[in-house]
Amino acid sequence: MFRYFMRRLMGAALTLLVIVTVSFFMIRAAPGGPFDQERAFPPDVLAALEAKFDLNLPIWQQYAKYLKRLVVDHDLGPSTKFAERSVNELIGDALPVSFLLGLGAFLVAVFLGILSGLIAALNHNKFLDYVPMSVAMVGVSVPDFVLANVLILLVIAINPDWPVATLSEWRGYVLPCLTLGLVYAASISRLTRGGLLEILHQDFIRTAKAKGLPSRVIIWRHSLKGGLLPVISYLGPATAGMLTGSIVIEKIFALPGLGKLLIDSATNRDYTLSLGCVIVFAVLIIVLNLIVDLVYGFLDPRVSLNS
Amino acid sequence: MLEVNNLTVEFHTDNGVIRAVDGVSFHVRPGEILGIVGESGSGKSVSCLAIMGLLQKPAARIVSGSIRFMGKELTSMSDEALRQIRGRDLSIIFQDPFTSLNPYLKISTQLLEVIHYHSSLSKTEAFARCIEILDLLGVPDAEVRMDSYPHQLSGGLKQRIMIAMSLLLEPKLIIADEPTTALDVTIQAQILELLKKINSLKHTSIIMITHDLGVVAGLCDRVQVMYAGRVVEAGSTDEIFYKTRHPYTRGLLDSIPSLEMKVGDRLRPIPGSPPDLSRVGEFCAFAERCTRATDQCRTQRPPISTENEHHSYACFNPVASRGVA
Amino acid sequence: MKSNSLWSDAYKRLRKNRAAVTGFLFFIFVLFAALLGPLMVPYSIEEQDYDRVSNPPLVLDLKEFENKNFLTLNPADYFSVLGVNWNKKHLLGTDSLGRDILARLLYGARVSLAVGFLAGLVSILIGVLYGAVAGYVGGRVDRWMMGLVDTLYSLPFMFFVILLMAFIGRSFVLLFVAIGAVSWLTTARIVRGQVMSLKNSEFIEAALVSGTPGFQILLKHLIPNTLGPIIVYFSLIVPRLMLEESFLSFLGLGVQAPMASWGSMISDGQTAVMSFPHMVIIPGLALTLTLFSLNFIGDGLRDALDPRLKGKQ
Repeated sequence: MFRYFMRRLMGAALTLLVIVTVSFFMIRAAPGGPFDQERAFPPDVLAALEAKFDLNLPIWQQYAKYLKRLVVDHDLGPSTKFAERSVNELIGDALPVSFLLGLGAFLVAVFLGILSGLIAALNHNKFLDYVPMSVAMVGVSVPDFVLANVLILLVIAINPDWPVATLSEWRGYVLPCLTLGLVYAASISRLTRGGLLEILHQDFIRTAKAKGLPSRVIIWRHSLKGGLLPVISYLGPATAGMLTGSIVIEKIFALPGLGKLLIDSATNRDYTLSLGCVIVFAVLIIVLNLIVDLVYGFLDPRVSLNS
Repeated sequence: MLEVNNLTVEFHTDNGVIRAVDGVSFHVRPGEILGIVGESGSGKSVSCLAIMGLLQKPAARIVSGSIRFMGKELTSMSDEALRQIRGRDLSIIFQDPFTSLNPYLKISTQLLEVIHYHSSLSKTEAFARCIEILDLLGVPDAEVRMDSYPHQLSGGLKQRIMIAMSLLLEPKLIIADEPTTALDVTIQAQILELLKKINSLKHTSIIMITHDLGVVAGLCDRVQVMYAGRVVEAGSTDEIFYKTRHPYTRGLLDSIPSLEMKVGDRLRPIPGSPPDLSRVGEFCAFAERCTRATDQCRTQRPPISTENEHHSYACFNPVASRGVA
Repeated sequence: MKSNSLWSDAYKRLRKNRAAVTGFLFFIFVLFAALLGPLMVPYSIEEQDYDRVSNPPLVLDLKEFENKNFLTLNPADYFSVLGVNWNKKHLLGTDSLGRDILARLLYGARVSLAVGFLAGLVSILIGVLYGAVAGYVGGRVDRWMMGLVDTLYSLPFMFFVILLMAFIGRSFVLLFVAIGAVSWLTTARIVRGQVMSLKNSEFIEAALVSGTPGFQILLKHLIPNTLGPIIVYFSLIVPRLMLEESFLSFLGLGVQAPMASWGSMISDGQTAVMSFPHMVIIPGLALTLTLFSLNFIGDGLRDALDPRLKGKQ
């Protein structure tokens, strides 16, 4: 178990390094420099700025310095567009919003998804199976920014006073979380149903019935663990998808989260801020995937007990 | 103790209705071991699944017949009543131990739950009972095994766990559905010895389903031969082996290669192919493969004739009595 | 013996799949609309009609609303029940800059479909070459190449594309190359697997024995035989790539004005969605239905050509 975890950790660190490197050089490869766009700076101010951002050093040295600052000091540097504000600060402000959005979406996806998948599986080929599955089919194909608008219009039609794009109260979070979560709820729903149905056709379920166990025991104790495994492994790519999707959702609902920060900084060519955002996103995805792997390892005894 | 009368089971599939069990009757007395022999598709497993109430509804249905177990009619029982009997008075050992155990649960969980849902023993008492049965079955280091997962055990051990599961509550009847087919021959011998031991120790009746006549010879008191969902011959082991009457049984016995055969001797299989179970009707199911078939066989269903109280068969042209070749 | 039995078999199975057939018909419709449509609509995608800004397609009383600038009207006004009339000047209405939505929609169809297919081609091209080489050469080279694929798998490519588009440039070519270049991994895996299993078959041995150079074997024998899974994968990946293009365009990093794609149209209409929903609903509907039909076609092809792939993501 420990070796499994260590291997994953090493892989994660390597991946992170690759991401940082590729992003760093990609940004630097952009034509021009970070200060080209704006009103022309007087040469001495320009020189001072370049020194502050190490732009006068050869690129490999810049890279090395950046890495060191990142790993040792956990410092993502100053923003190239926002004077007087560091990237850490800006990201720190945005993170709680994204965190709440992500958490809400995750809960929506998991609860709605597993519940509807469970109901569908237990009512195989009956009405309660077709309805959730058809809805899920739609949910899987509709792009989230389209879904967001559909939901907005629906909600406004029903209750014109619902706060759509404000965070002053908790209700403002409902629509964004729902939108982000529903798409993944659809996939989770289908996976749960599929996984459960497959388990229910296995021989060991027949054994459980032969032992005279009550059906609720058969479902909860015998089927759920195995049936949910495909869902658990899906949670890895699902969380990555939700993080990516949050970019769009934050734009639609005007939420000042990490996604919006990334897009704005990229569009504005804020070198350090956009790099910082990508790194934070990458760390989040990697950490979440690691957690999912661990959970999977715990649940499937065949994985955890084989070195 | 178990009486099956005129049981008929049908499967409704996309390709039509298949009659897997066609008017089958048999009984099992307390303490006796009944062997049910037949090829795949003969209906031997389906009959026993029907007894246990484990047929996959809605595709499979008991169309007619009665199953009386310990005086109660099982076909008309509620699901809840059936559930209580299963595991406690009537249990089954399945063929493939590799897929019949839940890979995600510990052995202890899978054993203890049988006791928990059928009796009121405390956890320690239940645990002790499990160890007792495992020891009886010759499982080494029973406590360690209890704490393991199925994938950590060998095939033979897994099958012993399955047997243990069926024994925990001292059932009156155990159905063993080809319990050794998926295992090595050496393990097979051990498992069969175990079953014999259980039968003599606890006076448990056993229905042994198999396609292997050797197993039958060594273990069973009575035998029943099935073909195409019908019982073609039934009786005590001696009668069936030494005074065979039905051509199919004769064919089965003849097809076993013996140690006295010389190099170059041909094997003697039964000619033809397995029957089509969607064709049901008033004719002998074995007629198309039988060397002794007459027009009567092809147009009428042979009734059950009784040779003596230990032997009955369904054939218009039985084989003349003689011993095993 | 019929030589094309694999394909005719698959074709028969495909025809029976009603969802796939419907999807295919719809897709043909979209294709025609995209190719011929812009030629039939009297407006260009940039032409701005300042008198008819934000006109919805369905107007309740045309006589009252004709020639009026909608921004000055109270939206509640056009929900009064006066009878429904189709907007005669602009069939699908106009956007907030007065541009005809139908024209932009049809043009956007061209863009979205083009990007999807071109990116798909790029992806397939890279994937097939990479996978075929890895599978054919085998041994250590193969292990290294596939090891690279495995590590690349866990990278969140969307962020790279975002950075790329934002910093390097916003050209149309870069768009589909970037989208395609980040999704070749699975194709490579599939092709490698196929090539490896084909490598040892007899007709390859025959070709080798007769002295055909390795590269020709690759091109003429191995690759055509992996066509089945490649086609399936292509049909499944195109909608996903179209989605990514819309995603990027929605964020402003995809196609740039004056080009329009469905994603950018939705983005344009986003700010006013609550008062003028048609600007978002129409391209949104077009996008969703097209993705649906492509997904159905892809599923149908997969089921028809290789039922074993059913259920894999």
